[in-house]
Amino acid sequence: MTLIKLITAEGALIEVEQDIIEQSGTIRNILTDIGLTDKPIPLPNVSGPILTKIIEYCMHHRHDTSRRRQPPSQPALDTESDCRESAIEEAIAKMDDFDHEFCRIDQGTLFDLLLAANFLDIQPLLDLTGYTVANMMKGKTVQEIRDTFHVRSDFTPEEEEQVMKENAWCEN
Amino acid sequence: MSKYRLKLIIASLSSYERAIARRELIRGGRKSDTRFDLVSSLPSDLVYRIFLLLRLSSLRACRQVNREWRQYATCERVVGDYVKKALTSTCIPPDIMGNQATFRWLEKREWRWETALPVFAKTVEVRGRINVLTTGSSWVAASCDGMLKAWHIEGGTLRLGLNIRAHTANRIAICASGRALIYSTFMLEARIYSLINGELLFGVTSTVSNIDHIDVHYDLAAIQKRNGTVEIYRWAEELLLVRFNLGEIKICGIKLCSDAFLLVTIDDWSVRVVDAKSGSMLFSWSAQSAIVSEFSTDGAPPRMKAAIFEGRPGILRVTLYNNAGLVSFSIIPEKWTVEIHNVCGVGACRQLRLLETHFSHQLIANYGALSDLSIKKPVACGVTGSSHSSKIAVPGTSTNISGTRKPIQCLPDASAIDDDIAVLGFVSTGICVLKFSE
Repeated sequence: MTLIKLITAEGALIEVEQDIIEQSGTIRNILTDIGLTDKPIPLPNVSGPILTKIIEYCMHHRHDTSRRRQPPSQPALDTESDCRESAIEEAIAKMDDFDHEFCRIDQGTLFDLLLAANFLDIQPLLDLTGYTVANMMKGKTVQEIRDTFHVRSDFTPEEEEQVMKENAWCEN
Repeated sequence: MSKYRLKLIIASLSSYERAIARRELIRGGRKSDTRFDLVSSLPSDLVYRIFLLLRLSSLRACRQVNREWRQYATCERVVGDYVKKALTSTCIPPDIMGNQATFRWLEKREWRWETALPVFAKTVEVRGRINVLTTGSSWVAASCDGMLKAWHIEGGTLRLGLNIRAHTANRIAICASGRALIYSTFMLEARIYSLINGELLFGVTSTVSNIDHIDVHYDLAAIQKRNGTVEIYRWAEELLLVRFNLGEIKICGIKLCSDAFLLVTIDDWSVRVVDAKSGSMLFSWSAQSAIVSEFSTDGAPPRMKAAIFEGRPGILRVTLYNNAGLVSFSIIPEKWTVEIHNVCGVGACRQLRLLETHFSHQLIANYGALSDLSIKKPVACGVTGSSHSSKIAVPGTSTNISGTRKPIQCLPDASAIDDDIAVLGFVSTGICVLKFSE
C-alpha cells in the first residue's frame, strides 16, 4: 500500500494511504501530474485537525466507489447544474449514521470543512457539509435564521418596508 | 488601516484566504468569540450551492435576513436554477415572463401546497361510485355512474367540457396537449375523445384480451393488453404503427413520454424503455435494490408517473410509487444510465399512506396516532412537498387540506394529483378539486 505524505498548514507531516486520499480530486490530479512521489504534498489551506477529520471521512467511505466523482469526460454544458443537483440528492439519499454523526460539529469546524472539501475537491463531503448548512436554515423563521447564523438585519427602514411588502402575500 | 487598502488586500487573496479573512472581519477580531456569519464568510460558489438545496419557503426566509443574504437569495443564478428545475414538469402560464416572475409564481404555488391553501376548492356533485379519477393539463376527468365526465379548470371555475354516456372506465389518461383524452373500458375497448367538442376521435376494440393500460401523447396512442401485447397507433389516421409482445410479465403501467419512448412498469419495480417506433427494448432497470432499506414493496404494485425533461431533451424523469413510498429517478437515454433523486418511505410509521405523487408533491392519508392503531379511518388527508430531497422534507408534516382547512374525515375513494391540482373523489360528497397555482 502506497503512503502519501501531506503537510498541513501548521507544517506537520501526515501520512495516508493513496486510495483513501485519492477521493480528493485535487490530490488525484497532483499525483496524476507528477506521478507517485516520496515528496510531501503541502496543503497550506488545511489545518491538522481538519485534515484528520477529512481523512476519517475518506477512511469510512474508501470502498464506496459510487461516491467518487467520475473524471469529467467532457466539459459540462448547461446540464451542469442538473447533474450537480442530482449528485447532491444522491449523496443525501446515501447518507449513513456515520455521516450524520460526522456533521454534529460547531459552525467553525463546519466552515473549515466546507472550505477544505472545496479546496481538496471532495464532492461527497462538499455535498454533506453543504446539506448540513442548508439543514440549519430549513423550516426556520427569519429571526431564527438570524440567531442561528449570528446575523443582524442591516436593512434601511425603506428596504425593510420593501421586503415586508414583497412578502405580504404569505404573511396573513 | 483605511477601508480602501483593506479592500485591496482582500482582493489580492485566494478565495480560501478571503473566506478566512472575511470570517475574521465579521468576528471583529475577537478571537474568543466563536460566533460569525458562516454564510457570508463562504465563497459565493458554495453559498449558491447551499441555497440551491433549500425549499422555496426557506429561501424566502433567507431573502429577508439581511442585505447580503438577500443578494444571494434573489440572484439570477439561484432563481434561474429553480426555474429551470421546475420547467421539467410544469406549465407556466404564458403571461408569466422571465426568470424572476416565474420564480415568484413558483414560490407562491409551493407556499400554497405547503400551507394547504388552494387558490380555490370546488366540489362537484356526482352520483354513484367514482371508478377512475385523473387530472392533467388543467383538466379533471372521471368515470362515474355510466358517464364519462371531464371538467376544464378556467380561472376560478370548473367548466364541464365532456359529459357522455359511456361504459365504466378502467383507465383514463389526458393528453399533454389538453385537447384529447383516452379511456378504456372493461368491455375490451379503448376510445379517444376530443376535449374541445366531445367528438369521438378514435376507437379500437380488442378481440382477444382485456385492455389493461392506455396512454395518449399528441398524435400517438398506446394500448397494452393483458396478454402482453402493446399496440401503438397514430390515432388521427387510424394507423397501427407497431404491435409487439412483452411476454409473460406483469405490467403495472405504461406511459408514452415522447414519440420515441414508451415506458413500461413491471410489478417487480423495474422499468423498461421501449422504442415506440419499433417496439424493441432499449433499456431496463430495476429500482428494487435502491428501495430496499427505505420501504417495503410487498404491498400494492408500483404505479408510475413519468415525463420527459423538456429543458434537456431525452432525459426521462420517472417516479414509481405505491402506498408505502416512492422512488424517483432520471433515465438518461444518451448513455442509458440512471440517476436516483429520491427514495422515500411514508409508511414507516404505519399511520401514513401515500395516495398519489407528482414529482414534487405527495398526497398522503394519515391514519391517526400511532398509539391508536385501531382507528381504521384516516383522520386527515394531506399534501406534502419534497421537491428537493427526502431528508429535507420528510412527509410526516402533512397538513390538512380542504376548502375550509378542516381535516378530511375519510379516505377518498379516488384521487389524482399533478403540479397544480389535487383531486379527491368521495362517494358521499362528490369530486373536490383543489387548485394551487394562480
